[in-house]
Amino acid sequence: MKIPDLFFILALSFVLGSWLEENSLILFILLSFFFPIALFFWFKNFSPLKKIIKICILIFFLSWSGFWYSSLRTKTDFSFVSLDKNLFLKYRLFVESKIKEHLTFQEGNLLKGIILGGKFEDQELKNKLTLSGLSHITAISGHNLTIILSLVFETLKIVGFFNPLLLFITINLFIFIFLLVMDFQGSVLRAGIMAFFLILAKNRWGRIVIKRNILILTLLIFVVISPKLLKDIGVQLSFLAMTGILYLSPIVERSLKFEKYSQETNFVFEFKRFLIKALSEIIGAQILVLPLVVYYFGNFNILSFLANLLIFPVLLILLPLGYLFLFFPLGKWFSWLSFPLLKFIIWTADIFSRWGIIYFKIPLSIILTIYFFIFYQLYLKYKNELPDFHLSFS
Amino acid sequence: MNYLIFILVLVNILIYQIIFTFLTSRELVHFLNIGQGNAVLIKDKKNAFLYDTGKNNFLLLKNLDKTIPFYQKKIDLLFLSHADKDHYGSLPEIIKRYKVRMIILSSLDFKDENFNQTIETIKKKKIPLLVLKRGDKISTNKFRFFVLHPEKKYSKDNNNSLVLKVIGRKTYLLTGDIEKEAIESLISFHLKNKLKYFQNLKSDFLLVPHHGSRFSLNKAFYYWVRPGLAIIQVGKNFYNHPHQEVIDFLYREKINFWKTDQKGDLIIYD
Repeated sequence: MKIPDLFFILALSFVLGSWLEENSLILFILLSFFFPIALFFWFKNFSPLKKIIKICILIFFLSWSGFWYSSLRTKTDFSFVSLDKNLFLKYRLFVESKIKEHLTFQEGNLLKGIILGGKFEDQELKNKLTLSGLSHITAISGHNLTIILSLVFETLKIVGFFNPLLLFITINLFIFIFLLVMDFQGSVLRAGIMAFFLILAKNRWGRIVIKRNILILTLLIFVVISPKLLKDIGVQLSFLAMTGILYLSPIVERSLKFEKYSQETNFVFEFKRFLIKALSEIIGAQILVLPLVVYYFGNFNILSFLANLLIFPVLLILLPLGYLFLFFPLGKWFSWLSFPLLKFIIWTADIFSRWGIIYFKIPLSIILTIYFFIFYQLYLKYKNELPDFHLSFS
Repeated sequence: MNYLIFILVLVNILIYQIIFTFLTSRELVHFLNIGQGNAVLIKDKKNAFLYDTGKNNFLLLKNLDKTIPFYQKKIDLLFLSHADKDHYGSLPEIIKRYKVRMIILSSLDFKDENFNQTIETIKKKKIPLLVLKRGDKISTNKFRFFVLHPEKKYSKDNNNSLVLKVIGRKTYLLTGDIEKEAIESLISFHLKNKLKYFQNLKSDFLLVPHHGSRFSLNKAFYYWVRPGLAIIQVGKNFYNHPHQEVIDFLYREKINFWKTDQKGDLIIYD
């Protein structure tokens, strides 16, 4: 990075930050638009007609978002079907009641947060989770969707279900049902849209997938539906974490210097590779999310990384188990299996919420600078991005 | 060596298991610290009994989890003293989360509308309701419950509350929100059957009536009960409970007392 560039970015972000201190929504729209716009304008290999079309789309897109933002005062509500008629919401309530019956208060609350998301009844536990940097486990996101879809894939494989068109339809049906059960929470909506486009492009049309296009497309759809969705903290963090996983984690993985490919394929090696990948994804997502978290909550935990590492293997067992429970909410067997795991998570949250917390406030301008810096570096790195064949929708 | 470690770990787990079961299987009476409102859990090896449910906050559920494990989520008898928010408040949550065998009341026609709604949901769930009056007795294998109070219908709701005498190895007197008239009738009943072990007022532990209100202070009542420890179950409230007069009285009479908002939970191993 050249020095004049850096000064320019610093000045711009300070001006913007002092101007936007109050309205964080516009901040995030700008933030999320900076990256795509930058990529768009420096992408020179298109023909002029295509460029004009793209600029038109962009202008439409911006004006649309401005229109929506100025006109919409009420909260956007996705529960377009009332509760008595929405079968899936009823099913969700049924599962919740089953959890309440078979588990104790705190553990049941945590399990509900992990597999269903939504409101958290136990305020004390919620505070502990946020202080220890573990609150992301109670937000439903792409991770949960991948687990559900892989469960569905496996069962379909066992049944012997190979018709590609039917497979495509059933998978998308499952995504839609998942969205319905989760009541269209923002982060789940993001994951669902991304998964849909990925499957459409890769499996149905056989196209080469470029990551940023899908990311931008989902953002566009979000803004077209309603830009107010971007005001949700969960959505903002979700998008940032996604960019971190897509663009930062490969760098981290390379810096860990692990040999990805070897001649012999044994179980230990596979497991190691999986662990390294997960670790790099955690780190990549955390780095991008951290400044915004500090801005919103005014504190962060130094040891949160350690806590996440401790919990990671537990979640590996707990999440598929929880979704099995979601499909078959039958009874007591589940509470016996999951109780120690949930207790372990509560213990770690309890311990780490006492240690290593740093309270500080950073003004918006500095956070903006950090993001501009990171995005500029990423832009330099991925100016000539090659299509990625090994893309998964986590 | 590996075997030895394995065996040691197993033995360790076993010992902890034994200690755990030993701790949970003792008979206990648990006066819960749940803010304003009454809630007393009485538990032996197999059964759990609850007297009142406290206000509608989740403190009760958290506290119950300390003594009722997740594999034994049931309440055999739930006594409701009367229809006041700080006595039946978290009843709907309890019904959702626990398997309640039977609910025992002092009467069924209270004025509170919310209470009547919850009663209807209870009827839908087909949990049997039982109305008890003075003189009725329930005995289980460890505890015996004797109903002391509402012998007739009073005009004031507080006076209709269910007063229980719980008899294990020690005796406990659970008074709801009883006030002047009810206390007087209790004393007259006591004077008739002074020598009967069940019917008299004498008990080791007393739940102070109406969270230590000024209007339910009666010197003769304390004289006949002669509690070893008086428990004031109270939290933040607008009614100025417990009143300073009551506390001064307890000091003067040299009766030990336990305020749950200051000292927290009280667990008595019977």
